[in-house]
Amino acid sequence: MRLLVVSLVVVIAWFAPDQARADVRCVQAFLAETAFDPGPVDGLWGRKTGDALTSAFAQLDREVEGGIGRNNTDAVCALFSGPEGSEIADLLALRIYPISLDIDGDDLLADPTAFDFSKVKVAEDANFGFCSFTIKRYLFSEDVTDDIATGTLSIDNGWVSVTTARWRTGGFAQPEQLVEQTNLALTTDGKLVGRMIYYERFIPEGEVFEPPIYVTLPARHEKGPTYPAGETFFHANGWSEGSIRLFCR
Amino acid sequence: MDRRTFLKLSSASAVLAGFPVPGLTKTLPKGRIAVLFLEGGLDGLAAVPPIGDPMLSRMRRNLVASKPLKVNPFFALHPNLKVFAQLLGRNQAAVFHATNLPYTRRSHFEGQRIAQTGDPSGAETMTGWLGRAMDQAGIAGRALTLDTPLLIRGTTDIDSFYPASLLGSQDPDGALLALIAEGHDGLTARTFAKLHEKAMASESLPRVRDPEGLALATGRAMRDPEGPRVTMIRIPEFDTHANQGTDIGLHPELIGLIDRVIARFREGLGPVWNETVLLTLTEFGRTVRENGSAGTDHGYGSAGLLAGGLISRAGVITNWPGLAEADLWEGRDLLSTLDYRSVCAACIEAALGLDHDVIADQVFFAPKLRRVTPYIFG
Amino acid sequence: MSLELAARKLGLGFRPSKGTDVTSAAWIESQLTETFQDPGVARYGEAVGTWPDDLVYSLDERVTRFRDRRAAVKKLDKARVDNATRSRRMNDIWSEYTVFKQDLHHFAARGAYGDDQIRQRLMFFWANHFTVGRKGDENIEFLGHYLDVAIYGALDGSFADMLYGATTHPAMLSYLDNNVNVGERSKYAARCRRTGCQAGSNDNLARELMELHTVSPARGYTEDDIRGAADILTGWGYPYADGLPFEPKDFWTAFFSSRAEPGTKTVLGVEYPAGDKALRMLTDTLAADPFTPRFLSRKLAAHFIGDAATDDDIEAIHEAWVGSDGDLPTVHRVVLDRALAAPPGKFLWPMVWLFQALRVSGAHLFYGYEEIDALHETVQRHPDMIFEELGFDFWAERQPNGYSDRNEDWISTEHMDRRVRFAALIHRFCNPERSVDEIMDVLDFDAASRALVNRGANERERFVLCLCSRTFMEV
Repeated sequence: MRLLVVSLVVVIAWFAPDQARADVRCVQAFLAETAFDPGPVDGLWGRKTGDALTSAFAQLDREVEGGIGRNNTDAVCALFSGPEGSEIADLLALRIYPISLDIDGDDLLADPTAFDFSKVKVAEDANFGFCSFTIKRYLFSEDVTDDIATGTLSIDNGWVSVTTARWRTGGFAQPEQLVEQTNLALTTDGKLVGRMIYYERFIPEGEVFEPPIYVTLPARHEKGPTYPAGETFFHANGWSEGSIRLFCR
Repeated sequence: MDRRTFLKLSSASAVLAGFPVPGLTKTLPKGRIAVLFLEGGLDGLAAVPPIGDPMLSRMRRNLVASKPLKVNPFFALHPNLKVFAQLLGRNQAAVFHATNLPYTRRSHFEGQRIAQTGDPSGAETMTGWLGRAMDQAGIAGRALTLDTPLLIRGTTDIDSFYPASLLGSQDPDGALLALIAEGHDGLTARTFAKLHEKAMASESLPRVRDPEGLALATGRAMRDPEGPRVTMIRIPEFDTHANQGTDIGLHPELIGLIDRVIARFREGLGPVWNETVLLTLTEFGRTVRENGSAGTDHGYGSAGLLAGGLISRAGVITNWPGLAEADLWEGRDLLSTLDYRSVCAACIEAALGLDHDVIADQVFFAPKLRRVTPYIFG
Repeated sequence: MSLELAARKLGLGFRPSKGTDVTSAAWIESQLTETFQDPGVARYGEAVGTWPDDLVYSLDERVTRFRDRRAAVKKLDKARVDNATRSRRMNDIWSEYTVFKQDLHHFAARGAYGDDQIRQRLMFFWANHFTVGRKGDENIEFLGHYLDVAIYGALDGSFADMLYGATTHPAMLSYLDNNVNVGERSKYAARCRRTGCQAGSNDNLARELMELHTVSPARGYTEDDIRGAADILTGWGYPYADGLPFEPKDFWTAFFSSRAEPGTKTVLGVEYPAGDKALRMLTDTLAADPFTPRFLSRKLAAHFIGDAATDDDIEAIHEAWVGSDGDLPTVHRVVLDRALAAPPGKFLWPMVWLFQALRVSGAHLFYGYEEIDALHETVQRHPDMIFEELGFDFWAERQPNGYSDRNEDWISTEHMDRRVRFAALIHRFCNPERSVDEIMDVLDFDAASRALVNRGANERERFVLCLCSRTFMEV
């Protein structure tokens, strides 16, 4: 079989005009110095040479009169050897592998409190003008509960708006952040659902500030004595969990 | 680890530099440049695995993440680079692969030095490339950091600031600092005088130290049109000789940290993100094959991650050398087919508006340095 | 010079009512020859007693604990529990098995109360010369032992002995990657080539051994010499991740011939045989090389005398070294004598400043050994957090060239900011016994310095002015 292939190649090579071979070799030699590997520089047009040329010109984003097929290698060689040659070499020194992404999931570049409420049973007839809330933190390693923030909010057609707030953590925490960065709704069974800003640590006097995190509610829920009072828990980190405890008049 | 250990985070640090110098800065550069210095050697093959290379699974049986984010038929991203992937999708990020500084001796000490000086000749260069770039751009004003890292040392004397985190301590009183200064002379007196100035200034400097907080704070600081143009955030601990991890583990966590740092930085910058470019910098990559301890050793070629609004075309850019035995550097490392200084030079050109030839000659002492700016900048 | 001032120059300062009546010379001699008890305080505010024996851990015990902790964590990983339980159990595991916090408390107690103050300063110097930084959680458990036994415990011997002990200590072998330094022609490497694992030469320790620990680059060694030294070092140490295949008592002397490079090696023109004896031969040769005392005498002068060091000082130290074949007590005596006679000009390291501030003012900062895991406070009393905040910490990750001995490297705005904060904190929370006037009397403040201190608006400001004065920060 190999003998057959070799004799075939010899025959083809013998029949191909020398000039054409020289042109192919010229093109291959040029490409060999770039990031587009044409295969062996032997003057023989093969699939590798063709692929390399196609990718190279796709990156250059230009056309050659007559195309970049095996019949037009003299024009391509002239281009490579001409005055634009070194500029083209520079533009082909590296290969750009373009991005063809298909990324699922939340758009992380958007608002950190963005949340998809389409599957949530928002309590659309829930209207409470004055509710008080406490954001609490429960440490895992010891039985310690801390108040992270307190404030008031209202519920309009099931949607939560924070009216006043006070953080106990210090550091970067500002009251308006709770007003602006809370995206929560009340469900028909009294849970709070959505995302909001949260500070995991207290910054005592003398220590440095830390950025907030954004948490998703709920992880679980404990009902209160009346609707919608109760405590909605959320996962915070490896050493604590948080909750928001609600009480509405 | 108890709660206190969480508070004692790794010694990340940041620098804000490139402030305009009154009377000296002629034209203020329009852009911003941020360097993310990954100390220890980033594993480029873990961050951006070449899934289209047939040798990958053979060489790295246990070190490839199970569900990488495919960005094109040949390359993928580690799953922890979620934000970076989305930025790639919006033409606001790029990757240069199989690249590093022309340094092959694999020593941290030396490698980090060279990554910062930008001078592989081994000469005792006392300035850093970013510092020299700032000199050229006329913005070598003061800097805020702990001990001034080599990277931003230019020819002018720079300041330092790194906020204390000492429970029970208070900010020193300005008048007291002036009094202390009176009792000293020379460098000590000048230093206390600077502290006094800072205490009296109305500027509120960011008091943060964790990498994400630093990114957020430096991003915010760079919004100011009269503010710093240059920042460097240093993240240590990339040196994973053992138990490197694939989906979870130390290196993947750090890769995730890079992603979060980029996200926070973008958050802090707000609209100025459009004028910014961020690039990673590391002293070397890691070996292609894993070692006997499920880790990798110091290598050569690595990957550079770039992000920012100044980028106009996304892509993974490389002259891919291949992972077959014969293609490796010294039979063990990913080859570097691009001098990373070209990437640094392109970012300086885009952000600080300097000429490539000036950068190549005066910043990197390499007049023949290849120009790669057209690959990603408009 | 008064004893108090000598103690500041050469030691860590005397607490109130701890000075003695002897002359400085006699005191220095007793510091170098006596044995001392390690101090310890059980809880903050209690009287100073001795450090408990059961909080001193041998290398055996540390290795066993290390191994058991890893096993416990592995078991925990397998038992898929929720976040909360996992966190609690990890907490428990760390408290139960780790000892580095105890080491830090031990170190801090000694610095704050120990009578062996000159020995401690000598230990700081040598521990910095043979820097071993933290390497993640791989060697943190062995750092305390390294400081205590490999450095402090070697102060009465020869430099050659200390050099060998430091080079082979598990903390060092881990820190400078010798645990992964394997001979390219060793059995282990051959096996790896067949199975695809990664194993080869790593010259990190060899390089620093010559560059930083002994002869220094002035010697003119080549990359071949470093390679030769790296080959001699192969086989010493074993990567922890692979499990520990030897008994704890072998840890410090563990040599694995299957990982060692076979054949003879050449370093600086000298041939070394294969096997485990070669390393001692190499370190002895390096210790005896004339470039070593040349390098070290400069370093000792720079550290103890500072900018005021003269060529005579360096020459005297050098002579003492060469004349005694590197006998450390002989060398130390000369260093201390020359330092005592030299004019002030040494800007104190942050840690030395802190210890002196606590001792001279009679204050108490650190928690006791029963409060190692104490959580709720209004002021930082944990030594690990304090040293980290100070920017000077023997348990920190850092470069092998260690902390600088140049004054200007410690005079940055941030370091000065820390000193002012610490001084105020000591006055506010640490109950200093001495008043500012008493401190200034004991330390012989001149009239101008006193006047400046007295411009402070209240006692706290005066305290800060005193501790941040030139007189106090420079010796």
